[in-house]
Amino acid sequence: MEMAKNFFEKRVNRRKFIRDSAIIGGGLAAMTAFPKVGRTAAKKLRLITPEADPTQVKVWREAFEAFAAKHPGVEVMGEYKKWDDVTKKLAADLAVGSPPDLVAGSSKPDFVAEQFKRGYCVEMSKVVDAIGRDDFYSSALQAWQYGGKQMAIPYGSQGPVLWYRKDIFAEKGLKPPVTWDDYMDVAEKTTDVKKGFYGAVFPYGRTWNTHLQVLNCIWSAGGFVFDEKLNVAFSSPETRTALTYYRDMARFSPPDAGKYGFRECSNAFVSGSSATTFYWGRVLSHLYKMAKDLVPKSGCVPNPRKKYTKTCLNFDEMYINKTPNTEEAIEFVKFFFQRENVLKMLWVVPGHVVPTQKSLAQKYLEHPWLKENPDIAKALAEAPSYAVAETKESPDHPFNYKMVAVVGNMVIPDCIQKIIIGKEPVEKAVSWAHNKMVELTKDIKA
Amino acid sequence: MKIRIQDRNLGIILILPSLILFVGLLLYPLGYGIYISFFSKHLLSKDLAFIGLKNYIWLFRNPDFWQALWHSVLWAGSTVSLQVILGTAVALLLHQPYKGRSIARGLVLFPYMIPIVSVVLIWMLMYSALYGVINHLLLKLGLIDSAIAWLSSPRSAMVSVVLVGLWKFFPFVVITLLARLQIIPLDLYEAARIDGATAWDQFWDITIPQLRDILFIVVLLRTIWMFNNFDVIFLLTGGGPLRATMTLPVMVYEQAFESYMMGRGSSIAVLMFVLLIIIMTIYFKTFKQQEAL
Repeated sequence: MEMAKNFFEKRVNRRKFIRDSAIIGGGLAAMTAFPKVGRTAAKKLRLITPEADPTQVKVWREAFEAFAAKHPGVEVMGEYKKWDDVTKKLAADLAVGSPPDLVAGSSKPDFVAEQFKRGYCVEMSKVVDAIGRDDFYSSALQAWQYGGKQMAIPYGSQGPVLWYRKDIFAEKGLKPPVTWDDYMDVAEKTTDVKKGFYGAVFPYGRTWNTHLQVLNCIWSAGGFVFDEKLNVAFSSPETRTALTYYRDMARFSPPDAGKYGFRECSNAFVSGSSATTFYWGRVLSHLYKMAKDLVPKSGCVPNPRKKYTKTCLNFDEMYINKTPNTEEAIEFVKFFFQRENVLKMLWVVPGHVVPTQKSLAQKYLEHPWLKENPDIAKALAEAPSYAVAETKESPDHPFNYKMVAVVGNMVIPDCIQKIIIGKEPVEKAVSWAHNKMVELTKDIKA
Repeated sequence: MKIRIQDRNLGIILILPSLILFVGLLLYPLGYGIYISFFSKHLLSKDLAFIGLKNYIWLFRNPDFWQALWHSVLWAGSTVSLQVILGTAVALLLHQPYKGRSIARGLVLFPYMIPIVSVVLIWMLMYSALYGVINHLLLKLGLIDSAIAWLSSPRSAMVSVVLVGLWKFFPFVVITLLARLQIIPLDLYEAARIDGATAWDQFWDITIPQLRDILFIVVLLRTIWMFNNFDVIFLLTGGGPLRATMTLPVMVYEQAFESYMMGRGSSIAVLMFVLLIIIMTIYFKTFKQQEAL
């Protein structure tokens, strides 16, 4: 104050002003560089998650506060990312040596394995034991094991379903589609381009959702991306059949589906612009929050099939990076996996993911929205049972540590864009994707 | 005890913070970027393998690189020229005396002040085929039969992102030119009028020459910024569809954070840096030659 007063009264000479400013500036810089000096600093844990609907963010914050209350001196801070950006953000953080302490819901076992094999993540077996190994479905734990070691703990699993408009189907005398032929018929009959209404939403944006939806079709036709020895097996008659079907169905999708990721596919249905969409359980809460009148008019069934009903199995998981805060991060994971905390997180978007702990299976279904819609709840609860992880395309496949390159480089979305937007022959685009996958994975070691 | 510092030493002490910042924030990252470009480095790995010029050879042989370079030139060239044309026109308009001019001057800055994420969200909604106002109006007017996929068709994607780049950044040109317009001596115009100069003559022979120096700086800065611009294209199209809007900065990101190849990403960044230096050198020399005439 005195300095300022002197300054304004012009009683400070230039030399003194510079000296005092340097002292203040230096002090501030030192405080920034050494934040713990001179004050009791709380340990700050960073948690990155793409599970970031506003209601989910609220639940995360409540969990952080409850944890801080039980662990004075430890603070957890959430960083909320988009699905398509989360692994890129994590990779960038790892590259500069400042990974987040915790990651929740990346749903990318291939990416986590890439980190785990390089020694960046904490082995979680002891944490699973502390939480209660017997309470977990063993298949859920297995999906997050790499080389027999537990790299993450899943708290929810999910499989996509086909959401459809019961009222429009009834009006046109249609039944929910079971096969691809049924679906094409339904899509054709419900599409009205002039009214801006579409029978299907087949995304072909350069997004992870496109990757997953194309994969669902390839698997349904009986194809694989890799064989049991993890050689690229993309170029096959089954893949070509699947991509031809995908291209044909895109005709009944919104014209800008070439930019669609997750949200856009849900939005198309929830905004009343499409008769069907592939999506996970999150659509239910989107309907309740944004279009409640559509809730009784909506239903969901397993994805239509060619040969098999087989879709992508995804998980919301939690894993810990090796940082100076590892012990506190482990404590947070144990805290989070307490029954009431997991339930709170699952209930905030009811139906989106189902519990991986047996003790929550029944309680989970007691959410009012799930009770009001028993058919939807049943379809969503059953979806993971016929789904497989993209890192394990069949029971005969080993854990696929090569899939990370295919997913990261968006080879499958690029392939389908070549077919739909670039009008390339299916065979040529599939062959291109196959060769690209071979090139990208040839040097990847287990 | 009083410490006396000689003026010479005080000078060095005062320069030191800037020097440290210059080395730490500019020279070191630049040097490290160039260094990394000669190595094969996985983003998640600490290991470096020296591979000499292989990253550069890969780039020069890669048609994607040449396509991205062409897109960068197209993107920077079209946005900068359109920004200068629109910015000059709006600056001249805002320089005229009329009622509500202050409000108009404030409003014109809005696009520049809005965070880029908000700008992108607004434009994505406007471009949407399902509920976008642009498609809605065109359909209502009967100009199109069905909605256009502005951002997901290779034919319209670049035009669509250029439009956003123009809208977002033209206010920079407006404020810079407006500041210069306000200090052009009015007696120049008065003398010209007495000599019988038309409005066009006055604009061409007085206004433009007076704006010449500032336009030089504006074009220089905007070209550097637009050539290096990443966020507009990345957030709107991610470089797609089918690489139709893939520019060099987006390709750096693609190589480093999608393919995890830091070396390749760095080599693109180094080439961008070299290219900008070449372009700017030519630009400076041309300007100086014209000035000497």
